[in-house]
Amino acid sequence: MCLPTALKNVLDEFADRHNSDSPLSLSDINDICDYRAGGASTSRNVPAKLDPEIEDHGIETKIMFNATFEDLEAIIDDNDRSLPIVELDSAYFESVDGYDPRGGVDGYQWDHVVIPFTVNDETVLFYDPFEEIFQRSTRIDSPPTQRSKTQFYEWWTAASSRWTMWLQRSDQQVLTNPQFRQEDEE
Amino acid sequence: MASTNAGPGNRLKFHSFEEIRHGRAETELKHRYGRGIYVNEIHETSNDDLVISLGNTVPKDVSDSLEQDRVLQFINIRDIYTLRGEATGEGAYIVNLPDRDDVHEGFVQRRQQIIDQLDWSMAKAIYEHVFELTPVENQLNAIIQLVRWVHEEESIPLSRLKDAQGSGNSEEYVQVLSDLGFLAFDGETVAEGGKMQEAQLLELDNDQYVKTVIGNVVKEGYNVLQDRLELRMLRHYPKFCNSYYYDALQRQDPSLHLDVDAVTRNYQRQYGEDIDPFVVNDKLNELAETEVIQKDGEYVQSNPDVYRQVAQESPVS
Repeated sequence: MCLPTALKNVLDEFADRHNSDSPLSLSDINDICDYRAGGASTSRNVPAKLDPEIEDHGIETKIMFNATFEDLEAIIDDNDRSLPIVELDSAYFESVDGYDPRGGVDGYQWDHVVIPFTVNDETVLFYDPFEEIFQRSTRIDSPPTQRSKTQFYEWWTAASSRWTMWLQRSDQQVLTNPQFRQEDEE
Repeated sequence: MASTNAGPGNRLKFHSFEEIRHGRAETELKHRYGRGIYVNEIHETSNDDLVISLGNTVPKDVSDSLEQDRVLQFINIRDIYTLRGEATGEGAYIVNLPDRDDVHEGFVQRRQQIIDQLDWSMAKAIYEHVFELTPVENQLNAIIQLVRWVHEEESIPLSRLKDAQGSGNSEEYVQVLSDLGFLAFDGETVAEGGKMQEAQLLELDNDQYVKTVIGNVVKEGYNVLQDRLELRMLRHYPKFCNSYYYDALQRQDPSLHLDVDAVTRNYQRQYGEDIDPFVVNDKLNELAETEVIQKDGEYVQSNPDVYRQVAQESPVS
């Protein structure tokens, strides 16, 4: 549930920032991420399935590999872009207090999905939907997590070559139904 | 097994084992099939192609109901699907990628196999304990009678057995026990088969002898008894046992405590059946009486002997 939960929260925050209602429910996003019990969700087809659902709102999905901290900061600081979603290697779990994750017979665990929202000189702050694995909640209401940039970079790279996904205002949106309003329209 | 759909978006090209185990090719598989997907084995064929076996990782909360720490056990399920990498002759491999549905179906089937295997191992491990539970004894009664009578009389006409049992199923039971080697049946009379005779070497008293033979029948004929003779009770109690033991085995902790609600959730998840915790609690109490599990109030723990026996037969983590 990590990816759908992260995507739902990113979409809600982006909509809220632009004084709009969220266009999709978690159930819609589960379908878009093709979530399956025991099989997790997939990001591969998210742009193809999500974009038709959000194009009337003037936004679209973007994915980047090999992103840098500068890229992350630029996405976070841009009011026309949502917060980013990134993957962290499963080694991240070992640093989470209160949980005891254990690898299986082949040593594999799930990589994780988090939402960075501040890149400082030494650290990265992010929201972690980890709780949802246990609670099936739809909201991330756990306190933000902080890790050193060094650790974050290592996990981010090891998971999937610093894969990063976000939503952003598409160029043509103002002609349609711009529910995600520009600042100067308010 | 792999799809032949070879559109540009459904092909994966990579250059080394390392790339599909830990590189961009692996990332592509995870993003396409789910973050739990991993490559559990690669074989090279005689014509330089690759056979790539995929596994899937599933997280499971196996926290102890009496402790604060939450334990998240990742279960690696091997060999859920096989991909074939064709050597291009230029140092690269191309894999035609199947639909996600096909890979997911492979995972669902593999997981079911593991649960079935666990149930079978459990049935063998606990048979002697649950033998005296009335529902089990009632359902096995016709087989118990056949074993006991044939042991006492040496040779009995089938017609007499049918009349004595009056259930209409005697011939089928005799046939199955004969196929399994416990009875000898020539079409008219029924006698001890080789496996009943072997058990006599143990020099047991009559009750213990019958119990031992029936135990061996269950061990060797679990599936046929259950499916062909519809003796469902054989699987009934192992399911409740495994709703506890599966977590303990995955966590490799025979002293794991689970409360009744946790066992109920496991039952519903493992067998896809809705069940009330009241029913689960009653079954757990019955099993505790036979010492298959230990129960202290609402908390369940292993019987270490049962745990050891099942762990040897069904590695699950």
